[in-house]
Order: sequence, then structure tokens, then C-alpha cells
Amino acid sequence: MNTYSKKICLLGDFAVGKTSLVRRFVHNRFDDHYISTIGAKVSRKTVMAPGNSEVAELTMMLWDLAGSQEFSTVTASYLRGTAGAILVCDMTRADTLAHLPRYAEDLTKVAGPVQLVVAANKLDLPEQHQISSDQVAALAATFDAPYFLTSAKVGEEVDLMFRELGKLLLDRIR
Amino acid sequence: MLDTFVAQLILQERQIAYAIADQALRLEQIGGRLDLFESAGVCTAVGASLLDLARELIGYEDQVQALLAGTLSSFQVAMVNRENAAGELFYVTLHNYAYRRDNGAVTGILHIIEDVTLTGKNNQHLTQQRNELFLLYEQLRRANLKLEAANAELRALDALKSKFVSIAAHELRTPLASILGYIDFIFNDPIRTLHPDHQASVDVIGKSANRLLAITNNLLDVTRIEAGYVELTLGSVDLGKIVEEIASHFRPEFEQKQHTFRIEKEPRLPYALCDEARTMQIFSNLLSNAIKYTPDHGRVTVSLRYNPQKDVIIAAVTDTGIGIPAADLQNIGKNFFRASNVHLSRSNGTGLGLNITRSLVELQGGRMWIESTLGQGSTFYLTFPIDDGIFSA
Repeated sequence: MNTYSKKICLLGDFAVGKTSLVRRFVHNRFDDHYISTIGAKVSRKTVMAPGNSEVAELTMMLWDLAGSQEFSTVTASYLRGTAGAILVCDMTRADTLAHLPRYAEDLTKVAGPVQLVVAANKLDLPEQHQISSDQVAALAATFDAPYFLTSAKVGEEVDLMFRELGKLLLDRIR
Repeated sequence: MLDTFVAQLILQERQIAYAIADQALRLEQIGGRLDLFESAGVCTAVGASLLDLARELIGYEDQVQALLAGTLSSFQVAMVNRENAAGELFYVTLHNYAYRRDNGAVTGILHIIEDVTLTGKNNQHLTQQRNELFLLYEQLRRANLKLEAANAELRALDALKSKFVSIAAHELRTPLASILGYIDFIFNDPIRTLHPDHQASVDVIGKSANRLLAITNNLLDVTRIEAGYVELTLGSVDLGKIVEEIASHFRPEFEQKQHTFRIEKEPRLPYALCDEARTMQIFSNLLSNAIKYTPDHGRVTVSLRYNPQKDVIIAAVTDTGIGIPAADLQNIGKNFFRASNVHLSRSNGTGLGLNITRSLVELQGGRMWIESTLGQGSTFYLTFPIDDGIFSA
């Protein structure tokens, strides 16, 4: 069985739920208390990714980056070697979706064209939504990326999203 | 060559640890603050892979290869979050250098890990506060937008209500005018005199129609005031004459209830700058109330005096009536509010008159306030701006 390691970055504005998505995927936990991330927190999870003819072992190095719209040399250093990225927005804050193209642009500058996935998080707060699934779909289409309406709080589509990204990354090298 | 003592001191003082790996990234040496390497699953044994020791380097393969090839001298990854065995967060910066032997050849990588927890925690604290403030601001902004929308809806509903009241009151006045006209005609018909049995009935119809007309006029006034449609014609007004004239209109009521009425006026009272018709309406409302809410054989006084300090005329309408409960005083003058003891006077009312009175006083640049003692009477104070230099005789 082939084994692979891939660097995956989570990008998006602060408090959209990047850390919570990683925590839900890696540890299957959720904490309602918001703690802002400084720098980068790297987590690791190994999954079995099915392909056309084989099952491969993929170690996902998940880079949970501080949410900031400012692009700097430090941010660039975090993005080097990225194979895939999850662009995360918060469905309760319209601006967070509008800012995603900027993150994708910065990433492409540093790491070239990488596999993207869009996550519209906080699906569990429908009464506060300012973003529709159609808007998310439209933006994801511009990146040629799949999108997922996620909830780190209840776990909705979180595992599916990470595994789908893993599969897409392996499809690129098979 | 660096002295060993100095090297050890630097490792301690700078809170750093180091690892040297060969071309195959196998660890050859490790030293300094080894606890900085303490993350779950890392292996610090000589011979283990550098990528197991610093898994954050996965993804930096191109940079690592460039270091080993000698084409890149160093690269760093700043402010990496790690957790110690107790689950506590600490921050490190990873410095990576091409490791060269004495002959200058690159034989591997020098990996230095620096504890930057103090800086990291300070940054985290500041960022946390900034982000929370922003989120709070966003919440407030959204709540404000909702309130504004609700407010606009309420204003629209209020405007609709005012429009309805205004139209209804206006439409009521036309048939009322006919009723009053015909009653007047019946009473004053020189040819056919009314049968005595019917005279009292027609008199009741006339009084009821007049009361209905007063109510519709009040409703129209309230809607006009609320909508800002009241136009004032300001001029020099002799308040003493106004009060005398209004009081004369109420003479039958004073006599019926056997009230004594008195005007106390300063000899040289300045003229007020106000709208004569609206000022008559103000005193008419107040005198009507004073008569209405004062039991028989009571006393009603209107005093007019000039306050040179404030340059205003202060009018006070005092009665010896039922008074207003203290708890109701703050609500007197609000639309449709009537004091809780009005039943004692056995009189009708809509609770609009004082609201109109207060609004008209304020529109003319004055103010109104009330002093009252339950069971002893009330005084309604009003101020009017003066028309400089003109004094009544």
C-alpha cells in the first residue's frame, strides 16, 4: 500500500471556525469558546483514501493558520509546499465569503495551483445566516472546487470534506 | 571555534534546542532544551528522521533539498503552535540552516527550535481582544440594523394610524356640522317653536354633537402635532385679555358649579410672543379641566406674572379640585392617559387635551409642568416667551 503525506492549509477570516473544523476532524471534539490562533498550528491525521485501483494511506498535515486578511512574508512562509487548501467562511458573516478569493490568490502566488475546497461553516446557526448555499456554490465554481456546508459544532460534513480533499489530492498524483 | 561553555550558555539563555541531521535527514546530534521537541509522537533518538522530530517541515521538501544542496542557506517557520505533554500551548520558531563542516561542504541540516511563547501569548492576547471586539461590534451593528428596520416598520404603522385618525376625524366633522346647524335652526326657528317635551331631547343631542366635535378636533390636533403639520402665527398677545375672554366663555360652567374664579395679573405684564388662537386653545383646555375636576363651590385662579431672570411669562392655572395621584403625574399629558382618580369627578374625557396643551406650549417655545396634591388641587404652570418691549396696560 502506498503512503503519502500532504500539507493542507486552512484559510479564512478569524473566527470562521478553522481551528474547530480541524479539532472536529482530528479529535472529534468541539469547544464553543473562541480562542484566536496565532501563527500556525499543525495537526496530523492519517486516513485511508480509496482510489480507482488501490487504497492508499494519506497523512494529512493540517495547517491551521491565523485568520488574517493581511498577506505577509510570514504568511507566505506558512503556505510553501501546500498541496491542498480549505477556504473557510462563516455563513453568519457575509464578508467572510467575499474575502475568500483573496486568500486563494495569495496561496496561488506562493504554492501555485493547488487543490481547493470551500467550507461554509456554522451551518447549525440557520437563523443567523447571511450567506446562501447558492452563493457558496457560485464562488466555489470560480475555483473549480467542491464546496461543503459544514458545522464543526455538530460535525456536519466535516469528515466528508477532509476525506474528499484527501481523495482529490491522491487523484492528482495517481 | 566557539567555546563549549559559551555554546551551552547561549542554548540556555536563548531558550533553544537544536538538532543536526545528515543528508538523509537522520538525526546525528540533539541538545539544548529538549522539552521544546515534546510534541505527541515525536522521536528524539539519534538516527530518527528529522521530519519525525519537526513534522511541520513536511511540505517544505523543496527548501530542505535546497539546504542540503547548499543553494539555500536558511529558512524559518515562525510562531508554530505546539502542546506539551500536559496539553499546554507553547509557541516555537523553527530555524533551519545548511550545516557545513570545516571544509565548507554541506553535510546536513542544523535545525534550531526557539521558544517564543512569551511573544506568542502576548500576541494571542491582543489578537483575541481585537477579534472579540470586532465580533461584538458586528453583533451590535446587526442588532442595530434589525432595530432600525423594526423602527421604520413602526413609524410606517404609526403614520398609517395617524392618517386613518385624521381622515376619520375629518369625515366626522362634516356630518357633525350639519347636525349642529339643524339643531341651531330648530332652536331658533321663528315660525315653529319646539314642543317643550322635545326641547330637552334636542338640547341633549346638541350637547352630544358638540362634545363629539370637540373630540374629533382633538384627534385632528394630535395627528397634526405628531406629523409636524401645526403652523403657528406668532404675534404680540396680551395674555390677560386672552384669559378674560376664555373665562367669559366658561361663565355658565363656573356658575353652574358655583366656583369662584379669579385672575391675578401683574400690572405691567409684557406681551407674550405666541399664536393667539392656539393660546386660547391652551387656556380653554386648562380652564375646562379645572372646572371639570373641581367639586362644586371650588376655586379656580389664573395668575400671570413676569419672570425677568428667565425673560418669560409664567401662567399658573390653579384649582381646588380632586388633584392628581403622585404616581400618575409623570404620565399626565401622554396621549389617552387619564389619572386613576378621574372617576371622582364623574366627567368624560379622552386624555388628549393635556397632550395637545403641552405640545402647543412647547411648540411656542415654552414648557409646562404640574404640581398637585391629592384631594387638595392642582396647579398647571406654563411659560410663554415675551415679545420684547410691549407691556399691557
